[in-house]
Amino acid sequence: MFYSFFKSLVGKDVVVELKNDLSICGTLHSVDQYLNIKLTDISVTDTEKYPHMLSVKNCFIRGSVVRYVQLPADEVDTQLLQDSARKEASAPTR
Amino acid sequence: MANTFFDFDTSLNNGENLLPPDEDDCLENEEEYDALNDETFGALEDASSLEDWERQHEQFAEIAESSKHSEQLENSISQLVLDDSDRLSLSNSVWSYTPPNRNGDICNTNILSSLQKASKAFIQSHRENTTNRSVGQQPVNSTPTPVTNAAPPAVRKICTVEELEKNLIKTSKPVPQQQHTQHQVPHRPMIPPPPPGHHQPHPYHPMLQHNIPPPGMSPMNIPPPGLRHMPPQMNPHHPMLPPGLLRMVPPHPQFMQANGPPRMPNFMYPRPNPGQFPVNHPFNFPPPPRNLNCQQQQRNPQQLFHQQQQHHQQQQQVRHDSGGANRQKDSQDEYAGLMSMKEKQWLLNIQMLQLNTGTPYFDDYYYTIFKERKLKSNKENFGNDKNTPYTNKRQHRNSDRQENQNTLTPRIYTPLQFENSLGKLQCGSVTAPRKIIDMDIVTPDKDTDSPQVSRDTRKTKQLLLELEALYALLLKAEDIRNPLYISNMEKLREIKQKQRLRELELAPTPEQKQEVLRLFKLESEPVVENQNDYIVKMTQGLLQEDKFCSFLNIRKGKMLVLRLLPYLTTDMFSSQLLELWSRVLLSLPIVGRRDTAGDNILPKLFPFFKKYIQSSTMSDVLDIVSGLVEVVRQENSRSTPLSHVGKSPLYFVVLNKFGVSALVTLLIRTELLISSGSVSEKQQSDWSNFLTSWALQTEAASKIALPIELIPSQIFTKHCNRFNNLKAEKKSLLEKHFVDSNTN
Repeated sequence: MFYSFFKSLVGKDVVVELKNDLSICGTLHSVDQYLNIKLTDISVTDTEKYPHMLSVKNCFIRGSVVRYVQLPADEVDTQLLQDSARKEASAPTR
Repeated sequence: MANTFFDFDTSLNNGENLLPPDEDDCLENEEEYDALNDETFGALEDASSLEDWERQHEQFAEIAESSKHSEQLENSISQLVLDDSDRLSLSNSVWSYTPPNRNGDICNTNILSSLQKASKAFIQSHRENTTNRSVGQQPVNSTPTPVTNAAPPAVRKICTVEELEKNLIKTSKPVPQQQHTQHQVPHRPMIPPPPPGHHQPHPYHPMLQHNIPPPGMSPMNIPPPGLRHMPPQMNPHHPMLPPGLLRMVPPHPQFMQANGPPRMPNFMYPRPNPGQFPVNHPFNFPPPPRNLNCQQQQRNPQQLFHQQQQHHQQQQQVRHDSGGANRQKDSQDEYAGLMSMKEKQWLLNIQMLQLNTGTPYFDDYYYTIFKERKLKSNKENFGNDKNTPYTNKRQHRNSDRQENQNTLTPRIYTPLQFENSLGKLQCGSVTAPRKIIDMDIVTPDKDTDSPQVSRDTRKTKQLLLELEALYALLLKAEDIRNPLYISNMEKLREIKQKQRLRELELAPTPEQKQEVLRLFKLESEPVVENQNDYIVKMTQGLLQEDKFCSFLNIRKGKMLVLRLLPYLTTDMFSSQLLELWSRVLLSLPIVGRRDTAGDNILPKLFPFFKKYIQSSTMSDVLDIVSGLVEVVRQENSRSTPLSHVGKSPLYFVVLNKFGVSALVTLLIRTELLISSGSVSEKQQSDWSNFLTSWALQTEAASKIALPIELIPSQIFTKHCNRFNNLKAEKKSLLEKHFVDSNTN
């Protein structure tokens, strides 16, 4: 379900916070079924005291290391998300 | 020297202890190895050049050391000679492992020098060969030119010494050693030149450490120290070096020995910088662990000697070319070109295919619906030119705003704390990856209302679960009429049928076949569902006496009602609607305040209410209204808050936006009904009573809400004229708040 959700956010600016406390701001380029994320045009948000990626423009983040993804609120339809979750819950076979 | 060497007995003729098997193998294979050298490895310039540079590097270092510590040499020589009763025991102890001691020049040099001396001694004792003897003399006087000549013979000498030792153990013939030395010579051309300005006197510790092997490998290590005699200038032989270096990478896959590739970093590692991080390192590897090489030596004894040679020969190459090779390596990606674009595209297509189900509505719900809605809204906006630049701007501003916020507000990340948990979240960071934050037990107040609190939370959870059940029904009901759902369902059914057919063919036993057939038949009939059934079920579930109010108190509940209302057509559900609306208004005392504070969903219900009322009868109106007037009694002292006691719901209705809007609508409707003449006397009097109480409450209430729609004034005046008991001041009050003074 979240793959579907992230697909709808492709092209939006998000901030990905990783489990190693690194926060990366960038444009969501693509996502896959494992929720691996590709970001373009990235910058490290918060303080740059964490690994400096000054020269890095694009990055690929493995899905398992993501802690949070901060989204633009107006790009998310919460009702739809709720419905999607309900459908997932009541899906007969998966 | 050391009497034990990793707990091995260092004396040579330990009858019990056989030499470690790999040493035997080395010994045996060495001759083969040498014999094959040209054929198998002669063509592989890289491999041999690897040997060469290592050896060269060794020799450089040796020269550097020997030039510095000639005096110590003398001492160690004498010491060594005195100690030496059994040559091999000496050699074993000489090559005993010393821990890396970067500052221990003296120590290492002693070892090296004693190695040199040992080899010298061996040669002198065993060999009648004049060249060897002259070579043996050379290492002591380290001058560049004689060393040049000494280098190949030095290498040869080392090898032969090694050979000698082996021979002593195994009584092999000296003849192959000649061949061996001859074979060594072709490796010379691979030896690269160090740069002219490259300064030699680096402590040779890493080399030595690197080459101090585990005990079984001791004979093998004679080359390294010997190689230190290798001269700095071997200019004629290098044009290959840079390409040789570069080509070390591509042939890797071909150089399929297990040690080859992992050892590459070792080769490339600029030996002269033992204490520093090899910043210029082409591979940017951290200093490879010393034991890595040792372990590898243990594992692949056959390759060991060969690699050692390569290693020595390569080292000088590396020193020289680490700069140039570095640059070249950076521009070349070692993993480039593994797959062509076509192949990549092929893989991508496979992955996409796997994700393609025929039924996106089921598998990919959010995205599908989101896209559809967006498309719809875009179409609507497209018609309106004014909107499109606005929406574009808005999108830009959204992303801008976010980025601005990111730069302007540096957030301090404090990890979440959960109540009632045993500890805090594990906070792993770059600096402290396993930092478990101190345990902080947060307990709620253990007061008397804790059972109350838990009961309430349980109740809320229960309500939420019920709501979810109702939502499931709603979604199903909505789906029935949804064309997207219908098409996807059809597709799903087709897929399932095909699958059943396949199963049918595969089913081994007739019973299973029957089973499959049965399922097939079941699934082939389209399931006809009635939407109204679901709706009815839902309303029943919703309109439970005590729960409805609580449902409305929760945002989800209100949203559910909002979504349900379109389906509640007046023709089919009028009774339910009546009950619904009266309940809604009755719940306003409890729900109203919360809604005004937060969600503001109740006003959204208004259009539906209006629609309903416009088709309602007077009796309905009166039903609704009468309930509002009743004063709340003091029965349930717990459930009714103090502020509600003694007040009628009408009081709270007046305070609420939805409430007053509803009242306005009711009045308009009543007026219409009266003027159409369908209202009885009784009803009219009931209504006028209601009007009075309404006015009363308006007077009493502090903050009257503004209705969504106001009463048109003419309707109001007309209405009031009907009722004589409506006193003037009350009338004016009502007029003030609820009547639209602008209508003509």
